[in-house]
Amino acid sequence: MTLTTAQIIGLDYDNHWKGDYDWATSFGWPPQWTNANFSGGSYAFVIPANWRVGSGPTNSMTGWNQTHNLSGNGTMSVTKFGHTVSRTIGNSYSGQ
Amino acid sequence: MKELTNAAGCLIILAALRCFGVEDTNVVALGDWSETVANQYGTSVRGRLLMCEYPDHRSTVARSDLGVFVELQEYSSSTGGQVHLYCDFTKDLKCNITDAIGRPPEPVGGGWTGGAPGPQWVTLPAFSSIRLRASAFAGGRLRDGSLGLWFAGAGNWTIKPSDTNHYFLSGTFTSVPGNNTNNFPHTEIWSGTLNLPKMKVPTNTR
Repeated sequence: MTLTTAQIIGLDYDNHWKGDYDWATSFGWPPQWTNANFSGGSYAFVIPANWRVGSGPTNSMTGWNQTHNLSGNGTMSVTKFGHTVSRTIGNSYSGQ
Repeated sequence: MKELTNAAGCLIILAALRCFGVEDTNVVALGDWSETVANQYGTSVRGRLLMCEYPDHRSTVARSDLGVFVELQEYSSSTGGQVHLYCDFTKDLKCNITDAIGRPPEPVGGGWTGGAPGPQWVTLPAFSSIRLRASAFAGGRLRDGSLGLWFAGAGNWTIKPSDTNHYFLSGTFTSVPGNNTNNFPHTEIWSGTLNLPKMKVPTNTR
């Protein structure tokens, strides 16, 4: 389920990630919510993290989780760093 | 005989040059060019889809990266100019994948996290082209043999290794000028829509 690959991400002068990070996407799930017995489910990406300066040694740091929750009514929510974005089956988005 | 020897020598030299000149990016799929689209001042652009595979030097583990790119080319009917266009693939690129009779791949549930190409101005000097990453920095060839064609806004598809259908990727890219903070001459700003012809997704990537 964890489908990204460990890559080095550059940091800006103010410690922000360079570029258009960080996307959190969930897609392609069959419509379990049409089954009356479906009450929801979830999965989580456990994302480890390391840091380094230039070509220096690699050091460990606390990672983070990205949680995907599919509710019984088909609303998909992705939570990361305390932020949650939800999409209904009608493609209505909320959160940030 | 001497001419033959010289010819053979040239071939060897050319072969050697080619070896040293080979780049490490492998174009594994290439679509046709779109129709050329001009702005009202005659500045023209065309585009096409392609897929490239290359060693991922940014990865912390040895792997190859397989991504979808959009190549844009300055293709005006007169020479001398350059063109500036705003590329926001998160909003203005829409892709579609179907097999020969128009069926999409079977949906495969999944997700991805990480980076993707962000919006930016692109400048094309005359006679020049640029190859822009379109797909997310995740995806490509997956560990289980699937092919992940994932985009930030243009769609997400995962093709299982057991899926033996041939699929075709097509797209539509619309350039909508952002804020012209660079003060580009308005005659050199291109906006419009390119219909990117379908490209066969290679089966040998799965």
